[in-house]
Amino acid sequence: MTPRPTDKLDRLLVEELSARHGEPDWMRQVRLQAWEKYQSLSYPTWGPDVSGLDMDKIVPYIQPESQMATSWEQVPPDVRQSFAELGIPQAEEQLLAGVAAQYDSEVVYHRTQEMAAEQGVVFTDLTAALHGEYEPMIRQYFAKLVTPGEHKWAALHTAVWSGGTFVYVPPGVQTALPLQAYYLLNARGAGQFEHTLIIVDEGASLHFIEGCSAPRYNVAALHAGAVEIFVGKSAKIRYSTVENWSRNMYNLNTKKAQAAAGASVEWVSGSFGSMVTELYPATILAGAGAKMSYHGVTLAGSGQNLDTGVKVVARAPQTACTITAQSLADGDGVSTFRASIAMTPEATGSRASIDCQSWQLADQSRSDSIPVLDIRAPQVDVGYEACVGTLDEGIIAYLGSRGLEREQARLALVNGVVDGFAKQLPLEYAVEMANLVTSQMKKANAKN
Amino acid sequence: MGASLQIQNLRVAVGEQSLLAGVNLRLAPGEVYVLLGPNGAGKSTLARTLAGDESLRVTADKFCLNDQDLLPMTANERALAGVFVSWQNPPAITGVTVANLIRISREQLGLAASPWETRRDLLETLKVVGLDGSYADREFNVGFSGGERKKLELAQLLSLAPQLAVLDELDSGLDADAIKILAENLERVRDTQVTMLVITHRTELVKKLRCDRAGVMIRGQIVYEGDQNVIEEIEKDGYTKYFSSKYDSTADR
Repeated sequence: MTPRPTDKLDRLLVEELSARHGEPDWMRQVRLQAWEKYQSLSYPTWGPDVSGLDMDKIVPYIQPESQMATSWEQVPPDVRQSFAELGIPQAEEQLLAGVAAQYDSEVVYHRTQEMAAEQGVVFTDLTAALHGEYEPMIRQYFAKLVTPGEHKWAALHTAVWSGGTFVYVPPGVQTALPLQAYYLLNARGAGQFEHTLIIVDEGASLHFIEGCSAPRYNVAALHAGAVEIFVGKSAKIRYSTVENWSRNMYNLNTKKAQAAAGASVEWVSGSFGSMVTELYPATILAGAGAKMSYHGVTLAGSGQNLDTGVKVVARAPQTACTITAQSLADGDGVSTFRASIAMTPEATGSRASIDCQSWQLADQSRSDSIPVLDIRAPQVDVGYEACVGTLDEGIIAYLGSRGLEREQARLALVNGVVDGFAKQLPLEYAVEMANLVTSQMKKANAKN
Repeated sequence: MGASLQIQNLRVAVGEQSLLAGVNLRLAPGEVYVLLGPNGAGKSTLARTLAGDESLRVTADKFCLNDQDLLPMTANERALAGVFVSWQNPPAITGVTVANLIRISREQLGLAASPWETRRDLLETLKVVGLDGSYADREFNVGFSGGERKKLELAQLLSLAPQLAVLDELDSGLDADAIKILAENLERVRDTQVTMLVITHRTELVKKLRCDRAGVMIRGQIVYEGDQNVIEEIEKDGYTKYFSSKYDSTADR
């Protein structure tokens, strides 16, 4: 069976997607309402230029040849090979509690390790979950954080989403190993719109890792996924992303978490790929004492405009958020970091600290840091620090006298900057990060 | 085995300002040469020139390591050729650990060993120079005192097995005990026949170190060369006499 692209983005496609997956009527209605919203909303007027994205040329749904498999042997060899090259099956054996692998528009592989399954952890593809016992839970939570009205890409996503993952961690369950979802967009000129819905119940904890990549074609591709995370009382989640989309990708992704009282949300985010990225993981600190931390690194090489950041809305007392970001630009790349902190009058006694370091690695590169602070609560402690730096030529000379070539010296310094981020990831991913930085620096310099 | 160094009529400037005004210096393989001189004489400029500092404008009739012309070589090419220069003010490097930098340097210089051997050797070297093993995993020079930075320069000298070691005020910032350790280590390096150019304006270290020759630099020229006795004379009488026209060709006559 050959892949069947569904290439026209219209209401009929939305209807067809819902019918193809045999979805309950409520989901069909959600999609259609989102489609109307998409039609009515304008493109954002700020951020990077996305005029090169011709929505008439994006293929919004491509069904892979494969059915969903639970062992890698069942996955077609070419698809399996693509994931093998990314080290996914190897990582699964060694350090993951479960893996979901999406190829184009559908999840082709899903398996939860026995231990996590025995703990009652649900980790499955979202479409399948719509047909099971968790359908009422999905209905309760789906599109409630990332709503279609949020912006045009969120509306489009909700209308045409396909694939993605549903995770439920029952009360009190501590998952020892991370779960991972890997998204591979293989088809030319395609769009990927996976939806990740995670519910971590009271007192539970989860580390979820998301990876993304795509081969390069000479036409624009679009990734407009959504992640919704609900974190119950005193529960914890760490959501780690290593994103390495190819340089023809518009990565317009939306991620949002809501933390109940005493809950903790950690975002660990590495952005290296894509032509244009707009990505600002958002957290609503909804319960007293809820916490959020964000540790991110963005490295934009030549031809890339990576606009990343973080949003926090604190609307309960005694919340805390800590943001540390490294934003690097090399070649003629542009790296922008935006931090938006809002504290409502209920957020009495809350704390927020933002520390953003921007690095301009080449004369033509640009690295900006843009804060927006909207503080309406009394007795809060909010700190914002930003600095912009270039690589120290004196240090490069010193490293030269120790035998390092100029590019090696620059790479060592950039790796040093990124190292703090890599330490937050399991070892294998830290190695992948180092490889990505090396590859990115080489690409940037190849174009200099 | 150490390398020979031949410098003839070395002139160095930054912009219009002349820093070295015709330096002549020859070092035989394995020779230990102490270069003394007052502040601002040009000693560190000579070290930076040998290191390959690109901010300097350099000309020379001869500037060779063995028979290899150093002038067209970049800093890292000189390091690969066997030149090690300890910096007077070595920088702090955030995010790069001592162990990582020394490992990368050794790999570049063709001294790679197994990770276990590299680690073992580094810990031994740190101990020898007076730093405990925890320094291996600290960020390079971050939060180090001046003395600790100098000890780390010495550790690199011991780890990187050069043919020519140019030590620019490696003794500054060190207390008496540390200078004793430094002298002992330089004796060990000397025993491996590494050619050494030891630059200083103090005499504590060089009194403890057996040197083959000593030179005095004044106003960008080496104006006098002698044996170890030069060091004792300078300790007693200072540099004043070397500013006279008898030694300094640029002095008023």
